[in-house]
Parts: sequence; C-alpha cells; structure tokens
Amino acid sequence: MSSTTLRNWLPATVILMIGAVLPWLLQGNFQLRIAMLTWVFAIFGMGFNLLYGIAGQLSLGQQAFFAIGAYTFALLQIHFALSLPLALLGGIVVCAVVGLVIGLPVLRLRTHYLAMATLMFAMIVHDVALRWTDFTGGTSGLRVPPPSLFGARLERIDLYYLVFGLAAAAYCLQIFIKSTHLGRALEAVKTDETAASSVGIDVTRYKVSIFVVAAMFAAVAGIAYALVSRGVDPSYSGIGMVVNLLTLSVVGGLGSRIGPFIGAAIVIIAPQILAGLQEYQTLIYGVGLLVFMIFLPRGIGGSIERSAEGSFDDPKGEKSARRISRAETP
Amino acid sequence: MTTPPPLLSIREVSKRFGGLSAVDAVSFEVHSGEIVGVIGPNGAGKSTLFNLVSGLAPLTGGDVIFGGNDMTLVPPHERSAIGMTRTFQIVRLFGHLSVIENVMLGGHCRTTQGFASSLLRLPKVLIDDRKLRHLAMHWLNFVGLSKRADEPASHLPHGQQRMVEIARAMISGPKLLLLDEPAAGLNGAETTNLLNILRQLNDRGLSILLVEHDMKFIMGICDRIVVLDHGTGIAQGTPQEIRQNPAVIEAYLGKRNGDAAH
Amino acid sequence: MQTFGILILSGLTNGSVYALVGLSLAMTYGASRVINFAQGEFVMLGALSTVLFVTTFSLPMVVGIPMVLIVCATVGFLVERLAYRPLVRRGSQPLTIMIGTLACASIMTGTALLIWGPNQLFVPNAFSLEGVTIAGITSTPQQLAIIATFAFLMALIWFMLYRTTFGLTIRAVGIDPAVATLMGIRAETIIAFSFVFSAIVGGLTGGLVGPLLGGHVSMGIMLTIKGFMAVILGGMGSPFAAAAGGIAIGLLEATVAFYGNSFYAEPIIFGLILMMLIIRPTGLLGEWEANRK
Ligand SMILES: Nc1ncnc2c1ncn2[C@@H]1O[C@H](COP(=O)(O)OP(=O)(O)OP(=O)(O)O)[C@@H](O)[C@H]1O
Ligand SMILES: [Mg+2]
Repeated sequence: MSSTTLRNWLPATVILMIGAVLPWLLQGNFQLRIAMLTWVFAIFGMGFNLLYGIAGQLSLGQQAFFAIGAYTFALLQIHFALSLPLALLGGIVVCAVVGLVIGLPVLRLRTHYLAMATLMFAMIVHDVALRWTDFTGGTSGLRVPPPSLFGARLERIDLYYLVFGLAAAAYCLQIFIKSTHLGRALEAVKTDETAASSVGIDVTRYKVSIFVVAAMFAAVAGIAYALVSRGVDPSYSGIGMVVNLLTLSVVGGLGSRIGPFIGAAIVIIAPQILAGLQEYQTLIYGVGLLVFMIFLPRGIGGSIERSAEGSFDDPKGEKSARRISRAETP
Repeated sequence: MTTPPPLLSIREVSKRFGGLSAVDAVSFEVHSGEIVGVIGPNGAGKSTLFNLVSGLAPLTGGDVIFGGNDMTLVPPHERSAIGMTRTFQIVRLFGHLSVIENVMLGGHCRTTQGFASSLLRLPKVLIDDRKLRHLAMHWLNFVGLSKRADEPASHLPHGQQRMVEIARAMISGPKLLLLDEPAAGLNGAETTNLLNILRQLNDRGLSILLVEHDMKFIMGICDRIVVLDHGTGIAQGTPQEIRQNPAVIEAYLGKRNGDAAH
Repeated sequence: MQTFGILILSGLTNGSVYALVGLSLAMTYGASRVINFAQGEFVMLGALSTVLFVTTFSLPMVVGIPMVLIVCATVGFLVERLAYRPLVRRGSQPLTIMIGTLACASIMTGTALLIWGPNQLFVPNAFSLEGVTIAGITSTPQQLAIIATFAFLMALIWFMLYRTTFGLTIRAVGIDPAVATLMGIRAETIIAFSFVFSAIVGGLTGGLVGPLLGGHVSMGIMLTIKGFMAVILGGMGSPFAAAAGGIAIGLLEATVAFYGNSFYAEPIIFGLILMMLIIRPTGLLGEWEANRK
C-alpha cells in the first residue's frame, strides 16, 4: 500500500517542485515558452496514455480534440466575449460531447479499424478547419485574445503557472484513474474483453468513458497550446500533431505515470537544442520513435519506474529480476 | 409437498453456429445448494451451454431463468451482481495485473461505477477499495494463495491460476458458480484440494454447475449429472443412475472405455 | 452522356491510384497482419525520384523508371528489415508494429524533405499529356496508362496468387504463418517479398500519377489514407476487394466533386466511409469474399 502511494506521489512531488521553481531557473520568454509547451504536451500525452497505454484503445485522432478544444476556446472568446475560465470550460465540454458522440459508434471497432476510424475523424476535422474559412479562419487560423483572469491581464509568468496548474491537475486525475478500480477495470478491458465482462465490467461503458476523458485531456492541452501560441491554426489537427503525440508517448513510455512528462520534455526540447535542425524534425521524430520502439519499448519513464519499483517493493531485487520477462504492453 | 422454485432453470435452450446445432433444446434445473455436473464427449456443446448461461453468447432459442428472472436481456457484465459467476475452460486471468488485483476485479460490481461518480465520491472510493482488498485477501487465503498476492498473475503455475480464477469468481458473493473443466490440467494433489474447496463452498450453501471430463471427480462431487451428446441432452440423474444408463454407456462412457483401451 | 463519360474516366484514373495503394496495403496485411502506414510514401518516393532521375540527372524514361523501381524496392526492403522484422522478433503487438510503420513514413517524408524541399515539383511524364478525343471524351495517354497499368497489375497479381505455387505459399502464410512455417514455407521471406513488391507497385504508381498530381513530399499520407478507405470499403480479406474499393472511391469522389462542391468532396467522402466502417466493419465486399473462399 505505502509503496503504491510512494510510487504515485513521489514523482508528483518532484514534478511539482520542478514546475514551481522552473521560472527562476529559466531566462527569457523563449525558455519560458519551451517550459510551457512541455506541460502542454505532457497533458496531451497523459490523455493518450490513459486511452492507449492503460485501456489499450489506439486512437490516431486525438489531434482532432486538441484542435476542437482550441478552436472552441478561441471562438467563444471572439464571438461571445466569454472570459478565459468559461471559454476553457466550454472547450472541454464541447470536446467531451464530441468525444461521446464519436466514441459511441467508433469504439465498437477494434485495433486497426479503430485506429483508422479515429484517424479519418481527425481528417474530417482537419478539412473543416482548413476549408470553412469564415468560421475557422482557414489556413491562417484564429487569434486568441490576450489572456486575462478576473479583469487582470495575465503576464507571461502568470500564464506559465496557469498552464503548469492544468498539468498538475491532469496528473492527479491520471493517478486517480490509474490507481483505483477504474484503472484496474481498464487494464482488464485491454487484456481480455470477454473475461472483463464476465467479472462484471461494462466494457462498452468503460471504453467510451476513457475515450471521453482522453478527449478532455486533449482539449485542455489544445487550449493551453492556443494560449501559449496566442492563436489556433489547422496544424493543430494535422498529421504532424499525432506523430508528435506518438513519439512523446513512446519515448516517455506507454502506461507509465511519469512517461508523458519525460516524453514531452524530450520531444519539445530536443528540436530546440538542435538549433538549425528544424528541417530535420520530421526525420528525427521518425527515427526516435522507431529506435525507442525497438530498443526501449517501455520508454524512459517505464524503465525508470521499473527499476524504482523493484527497490520499493522488494529490496532483494528478486521480483524485479523475474518481472523482466513480463509481457510487453501494447 | 411443494418444492422451492429452482435457482437456475434452462428451458429448451438452443444455439446454432451457421448450420451446426451446438446446443439443441437442452433443459434441466439447478436447485439451491445443489452441485450439478454436465458431461459429454468433446464437442458435445458443454462450453457453448456455459456461454449461453453466462450470457457471453446470445441464445438462438429457449430461456434461461435465474432466481425466477428471465436472463435473456441481462448483459453478461450484470450477471455477477445478480449472483452468477463463472470460470473458463482455459484460465483467463488478466496476466499482467497482480494476483490480488485480479481477485479484486471480481468484486468490481460492488464498487462505485462510472468515472464522474467515482471522482465525486473520492473518499468512499478509497474506503471501498481498501475493503475490497481486504475481502480479496480473505478469498486468496481461502484458496491458499495469500502469499503470492502481489505477484503478476501470469507468473503463477497453472494450478494456482485456476485457484485465483475461483477466488475471483467467489468474491462477488455468487449464488451459482459455473465451472468449465476446473480440474483440467491439475495434478492429483491439486485436484483433491479443489474438491475440498468446492465441498466447503457447497456446505456454505453455494450452488455449482460444472463441466468435467474427470469421471472420478464428477461422480464423487455431483448431486445430479446431465449428459450432452451432439448438443442434445441424452440423460440426467444421480451419478448412480447415470452410471447404469445404457444410452450414456453407449454414447459416452462406452467411447471413453474404448479410448482408454488403446 | 459525355459528362458521364468524363466523370467515369476521371473517377477511374484517381480510383486506379487508390486501388493500387489499397491493394498493396491488403497484400502486406495479408502476409504480415500489419497495416503499412508507409505505403503512400512509396508513391511519393516514386514520383519524386522520377524527378531526380529523369529531370535532374536527365536520364531517359526507359532508364529512369527502372531506377525508380530499384530505389523503391530497396526502401521497401529496408522498412521490412529495419522496422517490421526487429519489432516482430521482440514480440511486439500488431498495433505497435503499425506505429512502427508510421515512424517509417515519418522518416521517409523527413528524408524526402531534405532532398526535394517543401515545394511542389513538376514530375516528367512518360506518356503524352496531349488530349486525345475518343467518342467525344477527351483523355490523355498518361491517364490511360494509369488505368492500363492498374488492369495489368491486377491480372499479374491474380495470376501470381492463384496460379502459381509461390502464390499458394503467400496465401498460406496469410492464413497461418506458424503452420506455413511447419510446412517448410519461409514465412519471413514471403513477408519480405510482400513489402518489396508493394513498394515497387507504389513506386510505379508514383511515377505514373506524378505528372497529373504533381510531386510533393507530403502527398504520401493522404494516399495511404485513401488506400485504407479502399481497403475498408472492400474489406481486408483480399487485394482484389481492396482494389474494387479503390475504384469505387475514385468514382464517388468524381461524382461528389461534379454534382456537389468539389471543395467539400474530401470531408464528405471521409464522412461516408467512416459511417460505412462503423455500420459494416467487414467492408461491403467482406462477406462475399469470405463466402467465396
Ligand atoms: N464460436 C463458434 N463458432 C462456430 N462453431 C462453434 C463455436 N463455438 C463452438 N463451436 C462448435 O460447437 C460445438 C460445441 O463446442 P463446445 O466448445 O461447446 O464443446 P465442448 O463440449 O465444450 O467440448 P470440449 O469438451 O472439447 O471442451 C463444436 O462442434 C464446436 O466446433
Ligand atoms: Mg468445452
């Protein structure tokens, strides 16, 4: 029990501390922006991690919710002059509803079919974002008004803490789902749907619920991305976005608690450090994705957790040695 | 004298797969506190019958009545809450969850359902979780596996996995337990252990419906036996009656003996 | 009548391209149980390496096209050897392997971006782009060549799969690789062949369709998706069902574009196929194919 608690909250404390002091360590708006983007993509990754890493449902359409959240957020502010918190809430609710409407029929499909159906859904959203110029601003997208909260303009640093707060909240939600009966049921659905239903799990309901939750995570990430970038454009729902998501998830480690943070940090920061290598980005992401899948399929986060787990539960290291042979998560 | 209504009654139940009649108009009953065995040669339709009773396969015809209620429209995941749980012919544990987590999943129907309601009732969820873990430990103790609670289920040998599956089925507090070939692949000591466990559960009032090929096992434990052949019920009665039934000897025991001869 | 003819012709041209991608996908899927996300990238590679060999190196078409096919075959071989095979050997799930092929698609696009840059390129044509009018319908030899190539490849694949021992082994591996291996068939070789063969088909498609569509580094993914739609429409079961699905999508696209708004043709077709996938996951021809076997 206590080792589980430790496993959940030790990384949380570390992340919280890093997040809180980071602005003092960083110099200039550019570095602060990179830090914010890391939190944004960690949120995005956590949603995908719940959906695929834990529940085993591969969606290649998460970028659609990322975009729908961001566009809704922008449109609610532009057309209805909603305040930031209300527009944020609006974006999340719209994504939850769309997630439910799409999830119900689509989750009857499995594996490749599910992946393709969600990808096609995202292509439709992308096409709409590109083509419905009057509404979405076409290729150039929409601008998001300068963020303000309760009448006060948000400075760059305030925005940082807002985005960081969202990431921290998302982490808690993730831990909650993972470490209660919800997470167990989702694992069961991933492993064997028939056996899951015979022990009393409503498989359809769980699949749809986690799809909606992942859509809401994507919405929050998309909105935060729009806040940081001061606008939305069709690239939010583009194929590049899902490659980013897959890369960060695999590099960080599918099913790992801290994976999305590590993955996001690496995937966001790496291209910035390799300055001037921007045009190599697609290539590097592809190579990174493949290399990790072949040589470190648990990702960095999963591997760290694995070795830490051994020392938490079992000082002799006996069990961790045995666990190496355990089957891979998909 | 009036007899109480049966716990489970299977009436003219049928299942067709395309042109094949896997189960054809089978009827029998299981009364409270009874252990009923289903026997029959390979491919007789025993597992299919279990899938029909547990709702994993839709009926092509007939009715399954449990505790006085028609089960036709009850989805499989709601049946454990009503008091009917099962194990599988080939053990189906959630391999990379721990042993205790597997057993806890059996009690899933007792936990708060849904994501939103779980979030809103966080303290209750945490307390329930602790209680469930306690109960799971109790059942692991019962089957003698409490020491292996935290290991991944897939690391256990087959005989122990079978016991975990039984603990997982028992934690929801069923009235009727369906066991599809529980003794298959068990060694002598494990089979004796299983027999003891099933007798203990039966003494506490649990009704059991089981499929088994091991004749000694089934003759030793069952109150009544139903014999299937090619999807149809060809006989039912006490072990004594079944042993002497010429149709059974012809269709089943005869073949078995023939098998044993070479 | 004339508009109808034009419609059919343009539908058939695009449809042939989707059909060729779809049939390659179905072939690789049949042998390896994996959807190859890099399939559309071979069309891109075919189109752009035609630019390289014929325009940049000024090689004649008859030398250029074989070079293109060699390049594509090599890359197809590398995808199998460096992505598919290592992932299978370490026991990855089919979905993990599919993500691996998506990584390959990303690597191919990324490399192409470095070589050819982000702009649309003119792809030299093997056949004339001059209009020929037959029975009131204007077409180009290039367009007709695409349709003809498609028909030829269909016949070739049919012959290979159903009339040769080699084809029998391919089908056996598709049904059960373990059993096929026990029977002495080298499943890994068959799978490698399916990757290389699909890459060649992709390259040929790219070389032919490039002059009509223009060559662009990011054209691959859209073609992969259209190929998938073809597979979805026809059902995963056979390359021919997938090809039929591709033709159907081409015709549907032409019809929607003609009678409706061509601007919205694409999202409308995505929506239709998505609905169809949800209603009939086995594909329109799925059961027919299954019954036939
Ligand atoms: N999903 C299915 N689709 C088609 N046929 C099936 C299906 N499941 C079972 N069958 C067929 O139904 C018949 C009965 O099978 P079942 O598994 O119920 O037999 P069984 O009595 O449990 O046999 P065993 O003793 O080998 O476990 C068999 O002929 C089997 O091939
Ligand atoms: Mg059976």
